[in-house]
Amino acid sequence: MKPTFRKSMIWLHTYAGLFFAWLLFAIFLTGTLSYYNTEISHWMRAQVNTNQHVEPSANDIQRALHTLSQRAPEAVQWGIDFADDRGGPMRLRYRTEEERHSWTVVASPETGTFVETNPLETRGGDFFRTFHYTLSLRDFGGRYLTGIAAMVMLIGVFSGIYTHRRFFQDFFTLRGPDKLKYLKDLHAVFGVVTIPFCFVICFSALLIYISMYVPFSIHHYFDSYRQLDSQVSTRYSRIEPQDDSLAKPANIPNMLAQLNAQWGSGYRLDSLSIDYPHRENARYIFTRDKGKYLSNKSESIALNHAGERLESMPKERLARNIRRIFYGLHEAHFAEPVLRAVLFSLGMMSSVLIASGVSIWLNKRQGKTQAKKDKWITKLHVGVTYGLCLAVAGYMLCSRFVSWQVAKGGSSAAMHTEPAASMNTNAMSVMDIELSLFFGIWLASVIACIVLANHLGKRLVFLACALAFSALFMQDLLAKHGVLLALQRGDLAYLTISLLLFLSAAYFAVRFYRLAINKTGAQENDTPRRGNKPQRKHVEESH
Amino acid sequence: MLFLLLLSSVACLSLAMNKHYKACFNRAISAPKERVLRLLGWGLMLVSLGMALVQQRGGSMGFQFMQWCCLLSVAIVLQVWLLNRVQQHKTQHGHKANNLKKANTRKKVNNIKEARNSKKTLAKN
Repeated sequence: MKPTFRKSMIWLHTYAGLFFAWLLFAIFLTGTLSYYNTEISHWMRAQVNTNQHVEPSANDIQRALHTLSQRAPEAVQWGIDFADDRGGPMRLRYRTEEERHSWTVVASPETGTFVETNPLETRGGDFFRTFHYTLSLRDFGGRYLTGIAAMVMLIGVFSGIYTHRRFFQDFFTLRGPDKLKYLKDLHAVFGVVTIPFCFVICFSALLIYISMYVPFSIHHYFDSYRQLDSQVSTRYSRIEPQDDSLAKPANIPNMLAQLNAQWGSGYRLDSLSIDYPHRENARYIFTRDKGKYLSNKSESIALNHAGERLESMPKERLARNIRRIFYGLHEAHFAEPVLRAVLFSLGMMSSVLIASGVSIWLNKRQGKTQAKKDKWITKLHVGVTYGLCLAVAGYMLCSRFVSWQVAKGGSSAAMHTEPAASMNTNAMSVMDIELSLFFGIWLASVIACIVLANHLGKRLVFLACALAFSALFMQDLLAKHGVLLALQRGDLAYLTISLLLFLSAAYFAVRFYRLAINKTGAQENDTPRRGNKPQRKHVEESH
Repeated sequence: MLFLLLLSSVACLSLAMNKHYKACFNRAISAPKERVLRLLGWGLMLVSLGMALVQQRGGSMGFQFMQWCCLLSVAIVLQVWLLNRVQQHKTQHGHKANNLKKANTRKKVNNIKEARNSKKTLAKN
């Protein structure tokens, strides 16, 4: 125990932070990227997937139902997920007694129906999303690890208030050329600014998997989590199919009128699912978008085939609602583009916060003994943090190259149904390639940083990052389905990602340039002011 | 709009601190000025919070509050960066700084005026 409370807090802040910094950095960076989950997927699949969000008309729904009835006449449930304005494509799905299936469709003007497209089978942005809470170790306790990390982050946030207690006097201050001071101020400012953000994010992360992290009380009162779940959350009651009846045609316009009466205007249809579509008592459940509400439960309306309302879902308990609200806050489904960008920059700030913490520690120790150990940590720090950025770029490049290969390889007939089988075998490997590429690049850059001298390794990583991001951007600029087409169509989701790529490229280029001209300062002294996207603007404008 | 209000409020609060006031105007702050700036800053912040909570364009109170918090964070970062720029300009070219500084403060004053005006128009509406 340390002599004073503050000293022990400082100790806690330093070592808890240090041990978990890289893990937390990886989690926060990929988590922040998954704010643009759908957008990234859209961007990565853009080669083939060019359909756009339009309000579905009664005619559209009718045609989708027609497609489904051709494809899956025996299904017990059909579903339509409508395209959204964040670049999510329209998908059709069905479920029979044995199997479930879903696929992406696009409206075909010639036949007047929806035909299957073969979007590039990449994981897209979903990879970052799953990585940030499972660390790709789902079966090996990855989610427990992230839970612990979230807890450590909370500890770090609160002990940080004691550690950097001067930040109210030095509020709004960024002190000049001295590196350590600058880093400290940056750390403090970003820390203060992101306190609410980090708190909400970490706390909601713990709440989302509360059943995993606090299993004992659940097992005390219930047999399983499922039982608890059935008590607190509500769903539509089951319906029994009427065996000998045949479906009557659905009165879609009537249904839409019913929805308008209920929700007014200004809602977006999220999905439609139909239970027992071939029976007379088929049930049509329309779900709307979650709008600007924090809870992640979206409103839905159940109708019968004629468009009359059926029994609605009972209200949920308070406890479940609280969890839903935190779930919603974590996922930020309610954010429109501006708010999403703000949240994204907050996420980036917290990544910078974490990385700069380690840099401060390293800078402080420079004059002291144990220089060799520190050198290792410095190298690792550069490798892990910037290597991750490089890996992200590599991951995105992979999809572009594969789609380019596909287009070149004469299967530009992606719209045809025939080569679908060969595409699918191909597609499995795409997922594997991009995954191994991601981890391979990350590992390679860590190794490179360890093997090379510190300043060399750092330059190499910066150069690689700058090149990779600008390659991405250039490719995007030149591609047929690239940024120019997106500009023409006003495809905001696509443009966001392109803009971020451009900013990343500019940021790393500037950083590399600064390192390269600063030959004399090539000693240890050039450790980072590590920043990602939000900081980029600072760097650009200060030159 | 909300963001401008927040930014001007944060600007007032930061200028109420002697260090930053000095950095911008080259002289120490006087006590009444400090009080005025501080009051103005907190007042503007309250007004913006009120505005955020009152306007409910199809959203819930919780959503508005969260949005307000996020915007506040960004406003603070922006202000930190602005002050840092002012400082840097001064250390780099001492003479030019005077003009720049004036332009900067003018901007800020305009910001505040704008915020007030829009407040008035809002009130009228």
